[in-house]
Amino acid sequence: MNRRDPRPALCDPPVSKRRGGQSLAICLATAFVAAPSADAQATNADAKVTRLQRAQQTVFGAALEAVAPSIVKIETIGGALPVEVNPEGIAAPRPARPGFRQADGPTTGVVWTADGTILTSSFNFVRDPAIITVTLHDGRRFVARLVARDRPGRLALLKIDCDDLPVPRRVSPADLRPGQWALAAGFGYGSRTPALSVGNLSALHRMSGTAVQTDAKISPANYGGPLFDIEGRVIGICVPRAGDGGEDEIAGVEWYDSGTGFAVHVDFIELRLPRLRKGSDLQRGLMGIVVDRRDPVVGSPDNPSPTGDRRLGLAIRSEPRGPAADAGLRPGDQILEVNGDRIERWIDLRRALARRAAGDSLLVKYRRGETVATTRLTLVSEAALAAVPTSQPG
Amino acid sequence: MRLRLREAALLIAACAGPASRALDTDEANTSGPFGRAIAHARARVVKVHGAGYGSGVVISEDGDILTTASVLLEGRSLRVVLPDGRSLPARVSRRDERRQLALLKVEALELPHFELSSSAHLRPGDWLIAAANPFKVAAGPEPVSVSVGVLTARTNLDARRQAQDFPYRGPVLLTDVLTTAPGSAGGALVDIEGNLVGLIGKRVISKRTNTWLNYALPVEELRAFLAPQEHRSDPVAAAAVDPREWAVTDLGLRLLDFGARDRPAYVERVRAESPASRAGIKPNDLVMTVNGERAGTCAAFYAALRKVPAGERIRLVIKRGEDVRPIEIDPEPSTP
Repeated sequence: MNRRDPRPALCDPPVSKRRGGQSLAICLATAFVAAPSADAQATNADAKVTRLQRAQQTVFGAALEAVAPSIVKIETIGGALPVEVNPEGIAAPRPARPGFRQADGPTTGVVWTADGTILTSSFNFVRDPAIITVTLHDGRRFVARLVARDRPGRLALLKIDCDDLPVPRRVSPADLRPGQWALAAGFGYGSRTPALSVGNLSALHRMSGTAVQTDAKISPANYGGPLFDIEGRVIGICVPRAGDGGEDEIAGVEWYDSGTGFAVHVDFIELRLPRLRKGSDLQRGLMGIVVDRRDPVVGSPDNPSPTGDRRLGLAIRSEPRGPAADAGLRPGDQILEVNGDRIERWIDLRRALARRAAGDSLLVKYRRGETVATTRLTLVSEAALAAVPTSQPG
Repeated sequence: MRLRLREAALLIAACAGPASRALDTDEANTSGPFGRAIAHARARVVKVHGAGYGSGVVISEDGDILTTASVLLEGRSLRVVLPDGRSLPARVSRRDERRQLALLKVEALELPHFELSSSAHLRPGDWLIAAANPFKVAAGPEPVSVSVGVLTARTNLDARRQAQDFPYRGPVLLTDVLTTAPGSAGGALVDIEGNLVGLIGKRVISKRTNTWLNYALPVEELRAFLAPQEHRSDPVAAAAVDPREWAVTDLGLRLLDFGARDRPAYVERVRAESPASRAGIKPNDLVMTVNGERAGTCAAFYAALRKVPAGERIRLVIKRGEDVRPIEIDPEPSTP
């Protein structure tokens, strides 16, 4: 598309921050530019462009206003940065990430239920603070209890004694598409209103399927805050890179403001919520196997099918440990299904495990030679498998 | 003398060839999204070259240019490249150490320039366009780079550069345009009409998040810098303590202000018969807020206290054991 042509340029800002087409933008464009003829005057088109842009910014502001009553400011007092003992035996604050030191400014959370459940990011509580306060949109301030953390999901659940909280509307990843507007907001910079960033949805199933990706500016200023659509519906909770960074709650902060940001989506949150509400900290659940991470090579001896459908499942490579060993799995076994979900590639298993946590029970269907069998095992935490340094399932 | 300089400048400009010729006609096209605002801004943003490089905005037709105060201005040769391609020697005519602003002067006439009006009309979510020369990618007469984002929020700056606190602590416009690349400081932030709403500030790290901050000084602060009575900052007056403000000793409490870097505001001692003791404050209480403002550390407690006018009641929230409770301290009857 020729960007200097005023007509198609309507949804195509020519400058460094390109915005994807989105249903509302298109519908606005249609409303403002009813069937432009090829000889439309440039000045006429410019006036329409300006009107469209005014409409856009009005909509951004309205989206923020729609979700703002459910965005809370979190402040913490006390606590210390995690300490680690260096090889010389001297304890020092752990350098979270090269060049990054956790600040102690305000952070952000999102009302999740009317009866006092606040969702936020575990990033905000690395210091294990003595006191956590939550300030609502209406100015009321509460002391909050940190009920539980979801370490792999980078989430944390707070509870305050209040039962009339405004719950935001939400939108599931199934109703989202890459390229649509995505907005993030948070109190991290100490502003009176939540600081807003506008971008696109870049991808839907990131971080083992737990998060969506956006080019809105995600940073400590909005970790724990909402990512929302142009209608003010919450897409997810902004977090530093989730899902793949093990238990380190700060992993991913080095990508802040880079245009590559993440938000744990509402479906994953709903999956985790029952256990978080009961006060269980969630940890990554491991099977104790090492699998073949390579994607099938079409036409190889292992996989003669030209369609790449090897129907062999995912091969266990070395001697299983922990739960997998206890369940009787052996090297060479082909995992076919986990709790009924078909496993063909490494990413399938990775996503299946990311949805679960240590302590969850799995029904594993596998093939050994010509026989297909099922076995049950219970996922364990990384710490429980610590004696087996090579175990990196999924 | 001044007239002659102007004549000389005009002569130089004339000799320098067709300065007003746009380098890239396609770039000068004002149609399309943000087209007019971009063209308007680019015609008013300059490149500053000294001991380093930066950006600046033209604010008068006869060569007044606003930029950030920086070591780059200390170079032996300070030059400004105008949007029409002319490269002119510049001198620093005014500085503001607190706002970290500088006013440059070049000898030129009839320059397109920004009017310093207002940023008050901006709402979060409103489009903003940055026009500046990050990484000095625009060479010679090439137009500066533009980048589009929105107004994120307004706040008061609380920032540092390396280990030093940044002296300006006033209002700023926050944006999601990345403005922290070297060379962007001094550039323009304009709205969709092309109106100057802010000047991209020096690269700072927000102390609240420990991240690079994308921000601009609002045009109101630029106006205040240029206002006649404010043209020289007075560091002595700025540092002087308001004698009427509360002192911790007046309250009769002492904090356990010793040890770690961010010391929680634990009360160490309470003087008998003092306002603090009458209010019921006890040793080991942890102060959480002062008049609604978070005061979790000793430094924050002192800072919050400084904002309370002398003689006014102070509302604290303290934590005692697992209990969180409000406490009000009434001032000492004033003694002459």
